[in-house]
Amino acid sequence: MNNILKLDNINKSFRKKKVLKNISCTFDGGIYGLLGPNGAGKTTLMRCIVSLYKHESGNLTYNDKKIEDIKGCGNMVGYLPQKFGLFKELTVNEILKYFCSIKGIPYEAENDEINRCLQLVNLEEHKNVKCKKLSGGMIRRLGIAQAILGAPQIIIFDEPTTGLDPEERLRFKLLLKNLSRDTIIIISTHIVEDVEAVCDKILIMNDGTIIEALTTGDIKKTASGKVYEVPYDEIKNINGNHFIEKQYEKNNGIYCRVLSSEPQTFPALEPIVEDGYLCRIKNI
Amino acid sequence: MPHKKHIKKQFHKLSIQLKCIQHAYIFPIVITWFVLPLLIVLLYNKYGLSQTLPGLITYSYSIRLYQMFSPFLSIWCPLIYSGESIEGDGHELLYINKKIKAGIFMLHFMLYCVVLAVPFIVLSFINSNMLLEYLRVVIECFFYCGACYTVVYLLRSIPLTFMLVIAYTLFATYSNNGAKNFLCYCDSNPISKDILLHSYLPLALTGILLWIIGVLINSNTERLC
Repeated sequence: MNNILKLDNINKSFRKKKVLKNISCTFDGGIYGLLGPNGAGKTTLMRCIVSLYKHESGNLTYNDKKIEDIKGCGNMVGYLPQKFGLFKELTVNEILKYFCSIKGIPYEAENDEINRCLQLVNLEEHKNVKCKKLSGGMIRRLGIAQAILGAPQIIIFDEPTTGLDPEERLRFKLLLKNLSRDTIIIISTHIVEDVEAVCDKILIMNDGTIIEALTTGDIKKTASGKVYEVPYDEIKNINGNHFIEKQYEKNNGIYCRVLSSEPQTFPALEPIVEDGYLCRIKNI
Repeated sequence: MPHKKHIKKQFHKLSIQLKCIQHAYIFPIVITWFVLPLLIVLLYNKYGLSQTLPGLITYSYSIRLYQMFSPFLSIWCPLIYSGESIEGDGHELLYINKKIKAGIFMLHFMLYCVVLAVPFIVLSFINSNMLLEYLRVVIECFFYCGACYTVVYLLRSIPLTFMLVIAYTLFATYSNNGAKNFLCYCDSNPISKDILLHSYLPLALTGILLWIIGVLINSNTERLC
Protein backbone atom coordinates (compact mmCIF):
# COMPACT_ATOMS: atom_id res chain seq x y z
CA MET A 1 0.00 0.00 0.00
CA ASN A 2 1.20 3.49 -0.84
CA ASN A 3 2.28 5.45 2.20
CA ILE A 4 4.23 8.55 1.28
CA LEU A 5 4.38 11.79 3.20
CA LYS A 6 5.98 14.59 1.27
CA LEU A 7 7.07 17.98 2.54
CA ASP A 8 7.85 20.50 -0.14
CA ASN A 9 9.31 23.91 0.76
CA ILE A 10 7.48 24.21 4.07
CA ASN A 11 7.86 27.58 5.81
CA LYS A 12 6.55 28.67 9.16
CA SER A 13 7.07 31.84 11.19
CA PHE A 14 5.94 33.04 14.58
CA ARG A 15 5.60 36.80 14.34
CA LYS A 16 8.90 37.85 12.79
CA LYS A 17 10.83 34.72 13.74
CA LYS A 18 11.17 32.24 10.91
CA VAL A 19 11.10 28.82 12.56
CA LEU A 20 10.95 26.55 9.49
CA LYS A 21 12.83 27.52 6.36
CA ASN A 22 12.08 25.73 3.08
CA ILE A 23 11.81 22.27 4.59
CA SER A 24 11.67 19.59 1.91
CA CYS A 25 11.80 15.84 2.48
CA THR A 26 9.94 12.64 1.73
CA PHE A 27 8.95 9.94 4.19
CA ASP A 28 7.81 6.48 3.18
CA GLY A 29 7.22 3.44 5.40
CA GLY A 30 9.97 3.19 8.01
CA ILE A 31 11.40 4.79 11.11
CA TYR A 32 12.90 8.25 10.89
CA GLY A 33 14.88 10.06 13.55
CA LEU A 34 14.67 13.81 13.67
CA LEU A 35 17.74 15.05 15.49
CA GLY A 36 18.57 18.60 16.36
CA PRO A 37 19.45 20.91 19.23
CA ASN A 38 16.78 22.69 21.24
CA GLY A 39 15.09 25.40 19.17
CA ALA A 40 15.98 23.75 15.84
CA GLY A 41 12.31 23.63 14.82
CA LYS A 42 11.64 19.91 15.36
CA THR A 43 8.44 20.36 17.38
CA THR A 44 7.12 23.02 15.00
CA LEU A 45 7.72 20.71 12.05
CA MET A 46 5.89 17.88 13.81
CA ARG A 47 2.98 20.14 14.69
CA CYS A 48 2.75 21.19 11.05
CA ILE A 49 2.57 17.53 10.02
CA VAL A 50 -0.24 16.79 12.50
CA SER A 51 -2.03 19.97 11.33
CA LEU A 52 -1.83 21.72 14.70
CA TYR A 53 0.08 24.51 12.98
CA LYS A 54 -0.73 25.84 9.56
CA HIS A 55 2.32 26.13 7.35
CA GLU A 56 2.62 29.47 5.56
CA SER A 57 3.87 28.24 2.23
CA GLY A 58 4.80 25.03 0.51
CA ASN A 59 2.98 21.73 0.18
CA LEU A 60 2.45 19.00 2.72
CA THR A 61 1.03 15.97 0.96
CA TYR A 62 0.13 12.44 1.96
CA ASN A 63 -0.11 10.03 -0.98
CA ASP A 64 -0.25 13.05 -3.32
CA LYS A 65 -3.20 14.62 -1.47
CA LYS A 66 -2.75 17.84 0.45
CA ILE A 67 -2.96 17.12 4.18
CA GLU A 68 -5.35 20.04 4.73
CA ASP A 69 -7.72 18.61 2.09
CA ILE A 70 -7.93 15.20 3.73
CA LYS A 71 -11.07 15.02 5.87
CA GLY A 72 -10.21 13.97 9.42
CA CYS A 73 -6.52 13.86 8.61
CA GLY A 74 -5.85 13.91 12.36
CA ASN A 75 -7.22 10.38 12.60
CA MET A 76 -4.53 8.96 10.38
CA VAL A 77 -1.79 10.53 12.49
CA GLY A 78 -0.78 9.36 15.95
CA TYR A 79 1.00 12.01 17.95
CA LEU A 80 2.80 11.92 21.27
CA PRO A 81 3.60 15.45 22.45
CA GLN A 82 6.61 16.36 24.57
CA LYS A 83 4.46 16.44 27.67
CA PHE A 84 1.57 14.09 28.25
CA GLY A 85 -0.50 13.96 31.43
CA LEU A 86 -4.13 14.66 30.59
CA PHE A 87 -7.14 13.55 32.61
CA LYS A 88 -5.42 12.70 35.88
CA GLU A 89 -8.72 11.63 37.48
CA LEU A 90 -9.55 9.04 34.83
CA THR A 91 -8.36 5.45 34.59
CA VAL A 92 -6.06 4.29 31.80
CA ASN A 93 -9.03 2.58 30.11
CA GLU A 94 -11.23 5.70 30.31
CA ILE A 95 -8.48 7.94 28.89
CA LEU A 96 -7.96 5.61 25.95
CA LYS A 97 -11.73 5.43 25.40
CA TYR A 98 -11.81 9.22 25.24
CA PHE A 99 -9.05 9.22 22.63
CA CYS A 100 -10.88 6.46 20.73
CA SER A 101 -13.90 8.75 20.49
CA ILE A 102 -11.71 11.68 19.39
CA LYS A 103 -10.04 9.52 16.73
CA GLY A 104 -13.36 8.21 15.44
CA ILE A 105 -12.68 4.57 16.27
CA PRO A 106 -16.01 2.68 16.12
CA TYR A 107 -17.57 2.13 19.55
CA GLU A 108 -17.72 -1.66 19.08
CA ALA A 109 -14.01 -1.88 18.24
CA GLU A 110 -12.83 0.28 21.15
CA ASN A 111 -12.16 -2.47 23.69
CA ASP A 112 -10.15 -4.67 21.34
CA GLU A 113 -8.10 -1.71 20.14
CA ILE A 114 -7.40 -0.52 23.68
CA ASN A 115 -6.30 -4.02 24.73
CA ARG A 116 -4.00 -4.28 21.72
CA CYS A 117 -2.30 -0.97 22.47
CA LEU A 118 -2.01 -1.63 26.20
CA GLN A 119 -0.38 -4.96 25.46
CA LEU A 120 2.14 -3.27 23.17
CA VAL A 121 3.16 -0.78 25.85
CA ASN A 122 2.91 -3.35 28.64
CA LEU A 123 0.22 -1.53 30.61
CA GLU A 124 -2.58 -4.15 30.59
CA GLU A 125 -2.27 -4.70 34.33
CA HIS A 126 -2.85 -1.00 34.98
CA LYS A 127 -5.92 -0.71 32.78
CA ASN A 128 -8.17 0.28 35.68
CA VAL A 129 -5.67 2.41 37.56
CA LYS A 130 -6.21 6.17 37.71
CA CYS A 131 -3.69 8.22 35.75
CA LYS A 132 -2.67 10.18 38.87
CA LYS A 133 -1.47 6.93 40.45
CA LEU A 134 0.84 6.01 37.57
CA SER A 135 4.58 6.67 37.60
CA GLY A 136 6.13 9.14 35.13
CA GLY A 137 7.32 6.30 32.91
CA MET A 138 3.89 4.66 32.90
CA ILE A 139 2.23 7.95 31.92
CA ARG A 140 4.71 8.22 29.08
CA ARG A 141 3.79 4.69 27.98
CA LEU A 142 0.12 5.65 28.19
CA GLY A 143 0.95 8.57 25.88
CA ILE A 144 2.57 6.14 23.47
CA ALA A 145 -0.54 3.92 23.66
CA GLN A 146 -2.85 6.80 22.73
CA ALA A 147 -0.54 7.67 19.81
CA ILE A 148 -0.76 4.16 18.33
CA LEU A 149 -4.52 3.83 18.92
CA GLY A 150 -6.36 3.06 15.70
CA ALA A 151 -3.15 1.93 13.93
CA PRO A 152 -2.49 5.31 12.25
CA GLN A 153 -0.46 5.42 9.03
CA ILE A 154 1.81 8.14 10.43
CA ILE A 155 3.07 8.10 14.02
CA ILE A 156 4.98 11.03 15.45
CA PHE A 157 6.82 10.83 18.75
CA ASP A 158 8.16 14.05 20.24
CA GLU A 159 10.89 13.23 22.78
CA PRO A 160 9.33 9.82 23.50
CA THR A 161 11.92 8.52 25.93
CA THR A 162 11.93 11.51 28.30
CA GLY A 163 11.32 10.16 31.79
CA LEU A 164 11.74 6.51 30.83
CA ASP A 165 14.22 4.31 32.69
CA PRO A 166 16.76 2.24 30.66
CA GLU A 167 14.53 -0.85 30.70
CA GLU A 168 11.55 1.13 29.43
CA ARG A 169 13.70 2.74 26.75
CA LEU A 170 14.63 -0.70 25.51
CA ARG A 171 10.96 -1.70 25.54
CA PHE A 172 10.11 1.40 23.53
CA LYS A 173 12.69 0.47 20.91
CA LEU A 174 11.24 -3.05 20.74
CA LEU A 175 7.76 -1.58 20.37
CA LEU A 176 8.95 0.46 17.39
CA LYS A 177 10.27 -2.70 15.77
CA ASN A 178 6.90 -4.38 16.32
CA LEU A 179 4.92 -1.66 14.60
CA SER A 180 4.06 -2.24 10.97
CA ARG A 181 6.89 -1.53 8.56
CA ASP A 182 4.42 0.25 6.29
CA THR A 183 3.83 2.89 8.95
CA ILE A 184 5.75 6.15 8.81
CA ILE A 185 7.27 6.70 12.24
CA ILE A 186 9.03 9.96 13.03
CA ILE A 187 10.90 10.31 16.31
CA SER A 188 12.10 13.70 17.35
CA THR A 189 14.82 13.86 19.96
CA HIS A 190 18.13 15.38 20.87
CA ILE A 191 19.30 12.10 22.45
CA VAL A 192 21.24 10.39 19.69
CA GLU A 193 21.29 6.91 21.26
CA ASP A 194 17.47 6.82 21.15
CA VAL A 195 17.40 6.84 17.38
CA GLU A 196 20.72 5.18 16.62
CA ALA A 197 19.57 1.56 16.88
CA VAL A 198 16.07 1.81 15.48
CA CYS A 199 15.98 4.42 12.74
CA ASP A 200 16.30 3.66 9.06
CA LYS A 201 17.17 7.25 8.31
CA ILE A 202 18.20 10.23 10.39
CA LEU A 203 17.36 13.81 9.56
CA ILE A 204 19.47 16.45 11.22
CA MET A 205 17.76 19.79 11.81
CA ASN A 206 19.36 23.04 12.79
CA ASP A 207 18.06 26.58 12.74
CA GLY A 208 14.82 25.68 10.95
CA THR A 209 16.33 23.65 8.12
CA ILE A 210 17.11 20.01 7.47
CA ILE A 211 20.85 20.05 7.00
CA GLU A 212 21.31 16.34 6.44
CA ALA A 213 19.22 13.25 5.74
CA LEU A 214 21.34 10.13 5.95
CA THR A 215 21.39 6.54 7.18
CA THR A 216 23.12 5.89 10.52
CA GLY A 217 26.10 4.37 8.67
CA ASP A 218 26.50 7.44 6.47
CA ILE A 219 26.28 9.76 9.48
CA LYS A 220 29.09 7.85 11.15
CA LYS A 221 31.16 8.20 7.99
CA THR A 222 30.86 12.00 8.09
CA ALA A 223 32.87 11.92 11.33
CA SER A 224 35.45 9.50 10.01
CA GLY A 225 38.98 10.75 10.78
CA LYS A 226 37.64 13.58 12.94
CA VAL A 227 37.35 11.85 16.33
CA TYR A 228 40.34 11.81 18.66
CA GLU A 229 41.17 10.72 22.17
CA VAL A 230 43.13 13.51 23.77
CA PRO A 231 44.66 13.54 27.28
CA TYR A 232 43.06 16.33 29.29
CA ASP A 233 46.39 18.08 29.87
CA GLU A 234 47.02 18.32 26.14
CA ILE A 235 43.77 19.89 25.09
CA LYS A 236 45.58 23.19 24.58
CA ASN A 237 47.76 21.53 21.93
CA ILE A 238 44.86 20.84 19.58
CA ASN A 239 45.06 23.04 16.54
CA GLY A 240 42.19 24.28 14.41
CA ASN A 241 38.43 24.13 14.85
CA HIS A 242 37.52 21.50 17.46
CA PHE A 243 34.80 20.48 19.90
CA ILE A 244 35.21 18.59 23.18
CA GLU A 245 32.41 15.98 23.31
CA LYS A 246 33.05 14.44 26.70
CA GLN A 247 35.60 13.84 29.39
CA TYR A 248 36.24 10.44 31.01
CA GLU A 249 38.71 8.52 33.18
CA LYS A 250 40.87 5.80 31.68
CA ASN A 251 44.03 4.06 32.95
CA ASN A 252 44.31 6.51 35.88
CA GLY A 253 44.28 9.45 33.51
CA ILE A 254 41.65 11.92 32.31
CA TYR A 255 40.91 11.88 28.60
CA CYS A 256 38.63 13.83 26.27
CA ARG A 257 36.75 12.73 23.17
CA VAL A 258 37.42 15.54 20.73
CA LEU A 259 36.04 16.29 17.29
CA SER A 260 38.46 18.16 15.10
CA SER A 261 38.21 19.33 11.51
CA GLU A 262 41.97 19.16 11.12
CA PRO A 263 44.20 16.07 11.43
CA GLN A 264 45.75 15.67 14.88
CA THR A 265 48.68 13.70 16.23
CA PHE A 266 46.50 12.06 18.92
CA PRO A 267 45.02 8.56 18.53
CA ALA A 268 41.95 8.48 16.28
CA LEU A 269 38.73 6.80 17.49
CA GLU A 270 36.00 4.87 15.67
CA PRO A 271 33.16 7.36 15.07
CA ILE A 272 29.63 6.77 16.36
CA VAL A 273 26.39 8.43 15.20
CA GLU A 274 26.68 11.11 17.88
CA ASP A 275 30.07 12.16 16.45
CA GLY A 276 28.59 12.52 12.98
CA TYR A 277 25.64 14.47 14.33
CA LEU A 278 27.86 16.84 16.31
CA CYS A 279 30.20 17.32 13.34
CA ARG A 280 27.24 18.58 11.30
CA ILE A 281 25.81 20.75 14.05
CA LYS A 282 29.16 22.29 15.02
CA ASN A 283 30.36 22.61 11.41
CA ILE A 284 33.42 20.43 11.98
CA MET B 1 -28.56 6.46 12.26
CA PRO B 2 -25.59 8.89 12.19
CA HIS B 3 -27.38 11.42 14.44
CA LYS B 4 -28.07 8.81 17.09
CA LYS B 5 -24.44 7.73 16.94
CA HIS B 6 -23.24 11.34 17.20
CA ILE B 7 -25.48 12.08 20.18
CA LYS B 8 -24.35 8.87 21.89
CA LYS B 9 -20.73 9.88 21.30
CA GLN B 10 -21.31 13.39 22.70
CA PHE B 11 -22.93 12.00 25.84
CA HIS B 12 -20.12 9.48 26.18
CA LYS B 13 -17.65 12.39 26.05
CA LEU B 14 -19.77 14.36 28.52
CA SER B 15 -19.78 11.48 31.00
CA ILE B 16 -15.98 11.28 30.76
CA GLN B 17 -15.70 15.04 31.28
CA LEU B 18 -17.90 14.85 34.37
CA LYS B 19 -15.67 12.08 35.67
CA CYS B 20 -12.66 14.30 34.97
CA ILE B 21 -13.88 17.03 37.27
CA GLN B 22 -14.54 14.42 39.95
CA HIS B 23 -17.22 15.47 42.41
CA ALA B 24 -17.12 19.15 41.43
CA TYR B 25 -20.20 18.62 39.25
CA ILE B 26 -22.25 17.96 42.37
CA PHE B 27 -21.72 21.55 43.55
CA PRO B 28 -24.18 23.25 41.10
CA ILE B 29 -26.77 20.51 41.74
CA VAL B 30 -26.54 20.85 45.53
CA ILE B 31 -26.83 24.66 45.39
CA THR B 32 -29.66 24.67 42.82
CA TRP B 33 -31.73 21.85 44.26
CA PHE B 34 -31.11 22.11 47.99
CA VAL B 35 -29.40 25.28 49.24
CA LEU B 36 -31.40 27.87 47.28
CA PRO B 37 -34.78 26.15 47.88
CA LEU B 38 -33.95 25.95 51.58
CA LEU B 39 -33.30 29.70 51.67
CA ILE B 40 -36.58 30.28 49.83
CA VAL B 41 -38.46 28.11 52.32
CA LEU B 42 -36.96 30.21 55.12
CA LEU B 43 -38.09 33.38 53.30
CA TYR B 44 -41.60 32.00 52.91
CA ASN B 45 -41.65 31.16 56.58
CA LYS B 46 -40.67 34.71 57.44
CA TYR B 47 -42.72 36.74 54.93
CA GLY B 48 -45.46 34.37 53.76
CA LEU B 49 -46.93 33.92 50.31
CA SER B 50 -49.57 36.64 50.09
CA GLN B 51 -49.90 39.16 47.27
CA THR B 52 -49.23 41.93 49.77
CA LEU B 53 -45.84 43.54 50.40
CA PRO B 54 -44.31 40.75 52.57
CA GLY B 55 -45.32 38.16 49.97
CA LEU B 56 -43.75 40.24 47.21
CA ILE B 57 -40.54 40.49 49.25
CA THR B 58 -40.41 36.69 49.35
CA TYR B 59 -40.95 36.55 45.58
CA SER B 60 -38.31 39.14 44.74
CA TYR B 61 -35.73 37.64 47.09
CA SER B 62 -36.36 34.18 45.63
CA ILE B 63 -35.87 35.20 42.04
CA ARG B 64 -32.90 37.37 43.01
CA LEU B 65 -31.24 34.36 44.64
CA TYR B 66 -31.55 32.33 41.44
CA GLN B 67 -30.40 35.26 39.31
CA MET B 68 -27.38 35.69 41.53
CA PHE B 69 -26.21 32.08 41.67
CA SER B 70 -27.49 30.31 38.56
CA PRO B 71 -25.34 32.03 35.89
CA PHE B 72 -22.23 31.35 37.93
CA LEU B 73 -23.26 27.74 38.53
CA SER B 74 -24.01 27.22 34.84
CA ILE B 75 -20.37 27.84 33.89
CA TRP B 76 -18.89 25.96 36.87
CA CYS B 77 -18.47 22.52 35.20
CA PRO B 78 -17.28 23.65 31.74
CA LEU B 79 -14.80 26.08 33.30
CA ILE B 80 -13.28 23.44 35.54
CA TYR B 81 -13.12 20.99 32.66
CA SER B 82 -11.52 23.64 30.43
CA GLY B 83 -8.46 23.36 32.67
CA GLU B 84 -7.58 20.16 30.76
CA SER B 85 -7.86 21.75 27.33
CA ILE B 86 -6.00 24.89 28.34
CA GLU B 87 -3.44 23.96 30.96
CA GLY B 88 -3.24 20.13 30.79
CA ASP B 89 0.03 18.49 29.74
CA GLY B 90 -0.43 17.50 26.12
CA HIS B 91 -3.63 19.50 25.67
CA GLU B 92 -2.65 20.07 22.05
CA LEU B 93 -3.84 16.52 21.36
CA LEU B 94 -7.39 17.74 21.94
CA TYR B 95 -7.04 20.24 19.05
CA ILE B 96 -5.96 17.75 16.37
CA ASN B 97 -8.59 17.96 13.60
CA LYS B 98 -9.25 21.58 14.72
CA LYS B 99 -11.70 20.49 17.38
CA ILE B 100 -13.02 23.62 19.09
CA LYS B 101 -14.68 23.33 22.46
CA ALA B 102 -17.91 25.30 21.91
CA GLY B 103 -19.94 22.09 21.94
CA ILE B 104 -18.72 21.20 25.42
CA PHE B 105 -19.86 24.55 26.82
CA MET B 106 -23.22 24.22 25.05
CA LEU B 107 -23.76 20.69 26.32
CA HIS B 108 -22.97 21.69 29.91
CA PHE B 109 -25.25 24.73 29.54
CA MET B 110 -28.14 22.53 28.39
CA LEU B 111 -27.50 20.10 31.20
CA TYR B 112 -27.63 22.93 33.73
CA CYS B 113 -30.90 24.20 32.17
CA VAL B 114 -32.40 20.78 32.98
CA VAL B 115 -31.07 20.97 36.54
CA LEU B 116 -32.44 24.49 36.90
CA ALA B 117 -35.87 23.48 35.59
CA VAL B 118 -36.56 21.28 38.62
CA PRO B 119 -36.85 24.02 41.31
CA PHE B 120 -38.73 26.28 38.89
CA ILE B 121 -41.28 23.53 38.22
CA VAL B 122 -41.79 23.25 42.00
CA LEU B 123 -42.02 27.05 42.34
CA SER B 124 -44.57 27.20 39.51
CA PHE B 125 -47.08 25.50 41.83
CA ILE B 126 -46.79 28.55 44.09
CA ASN B 127 -46.50 31.28 41.47
CA SER B 128 -47.80 31.18 37.91
CA ASN B 129 -45.11 33.57 36.61
CA MET B 130 -42.33 31.01 37.01
CA LEU B 131 -42.03 29.96 33.36
CA LEU B 132 -41.05 33.51 32.40
CA GLU B 133 -38.75 33.74 35.44
CA TYR B 134 -37.12 30.50 34.32
CA LEU B 135 -36.62 31.94 30.83
CA ARG B 136 -35.03 35.04 32.34
CA VAL B 137 -32.50 32.97 34.33
CA VAL B 138 -31.78 30.72 31.32
CA ILE B 139 -30.97 33.81 29.23
CA GLU B 140 -28.62 35.04 31.96
CA CYS B 141 -26.95 31.61 32.05
CA PHE B 142 -26.60 31.62 28.26
CA PHE B 143 -24.99 35.06 28.38
CA TYR B 144 -22.48 33.80 30.97
CA CYS B 145 -21.68 30.70 28.88
CA GLY B 146 -21.00 32.80 25.77
CA ALA B 147 -18.88 35.27 27.71
CA CYS B 148 -16.91 32.60 29.54
CA TYR B 149 -16.30 30.55 26.42
CA THR B 150 -14.70 33.61 24.83
CA VAL B 151 -12.84 34.87 27.88
CA VAL B 152 -11.37 31.58 29.14
CA TYR B 153 -9.66 30.75 25.85
CA LEU B 154 -8.60 34.36 25.39
CA LEU B 155 -6.98 34.59 28.82
CA ARG B 156 -6.00 30.91 28.90
CA SER B 157 -6.36 30.93 32.67
CA ILE B 158 -9.09 29.30 34.72
CA PRO B 159 -8.43 31.19 38.01
CA LEU B 160 -8.41 34.54 36.20
CA THR B 161 -11.68 33.74 34.42
CA PHE B 162 -13.30 32.67 37.70
CA MET B 163 -12.17 35.95 39.31
CA LEU B 164 -13.63 37.97 36.44
CA VAL B 165 -16.91 36.03 36.63
CA ILE B 166 -17.20 36.60 40.38
CA ALA B 167 -16.41 40.31 39.99
CA TYR B 168 -18.99 40.66 37.21
CA THR B 169 -21.63 38.73 39.20
CA LEU B 170 -21.12 41.05 42.16
CA PHE B 171 -21.29 44.10 39.90
CA ALA B 172 -24.49 42.87 38.21
CA THR B 173 -26.08 41.95 41.53
CA TYR B 174 -25.34 45.09 43.48
CA SER B 175 -25.38 47.77 40.78
CA ASN B 176 -29.17 48.10 41.34
CA ASN B 177 -29.77 49.22 37.79
CA GLY B 178 -32.67 46.87 37.44
CA ALA B 179 -33.76 46.62 33.86
CA LYS B 180 -32.32 50.00 32.83
CA ASN B 181 -29.04 48.55 31.61
CA PHE B 182 -29.32 45.05 30.22
CA LEU B 183 -25.76 44.15 31.22
CA CYS B 184 -26.69 44.69 34.88
CA TYR B 185 -29.14 41.84 34.48
CA CYS B 186 -30.19 41.35 38.12
CA ASP B 187 -33.73 42.60 38.59
CA SER B 188 -35.93 41.91 41.59
CA ASN B 189 -39.11 43.04 39.88
CA PRO B 190 -41.48 40.32 38.69
CA ILE B 191 -40.85 39.49 35.07
CA SER B 192 -43.24 40.37 32.29
CA LYS B 193 -43.15 39.75 28.55
CA ASP B 194 -42.33 43.41 28.07
CA ILE B 195 -39.30 43.32 30.40
CA LEU B 196 -38.18 40.05 28.80
CA LEU B 197 -38.26 41.63 25.36
CA HIS B 198 -36.69 44.97 26.27
CA SER B 199 -34.06 43.94 28.81
CA TYR B 200 -33.32 40.26 28.37
CA LEU B 201 -33.55 39.85 24.60
CA PRO B 202 -30.51 42.18 24.19
CA LEU B 203 -28.73 40.09 26.83
CA ALA B 204 -29.50 36.92 24.86
CA LEU B 205 -28.30 38.57 21.65
CA THR B 206 -25.11 39.70 23.39
CA GLY B 207 -24.65 36.10 24.54
CA ILE B 208 -24.98 34.89 20.93
CA LEU B 209 -22.56 37.58 19.75
CA LEU B 210 -20.00 36.60 22.40
CA TRP B 211 -20.47 32.97 21.45
CA ILE B 212 -19.76 33.75 17.77
CA ILE B 213 -16.71 35.85 18.72
CA GLY B 214 -15.50 32.95 20.87
CA VAL B 215 -15.94 30.43 18.05
CA LEU B 216 -14.09 32.73 15.64
CA ILE B 217 -11.22 33.36 18.04
CA ASN B 218 -10.94 29.73 19.07
CA SER B 219 -11.08 28.42 15.52
CA ASN B 220 -7.43 29.45 15.43
CA THR B 221 -6.40 26.46 17.55
CA GLU B 222 -2.74 27.22 16.79
CA ARG B 223 -2.93 29.92 19.44
CA LEU B 224 -4.06 27.37 22.02
CA CYS B 225 -1.34 24.76 21.40
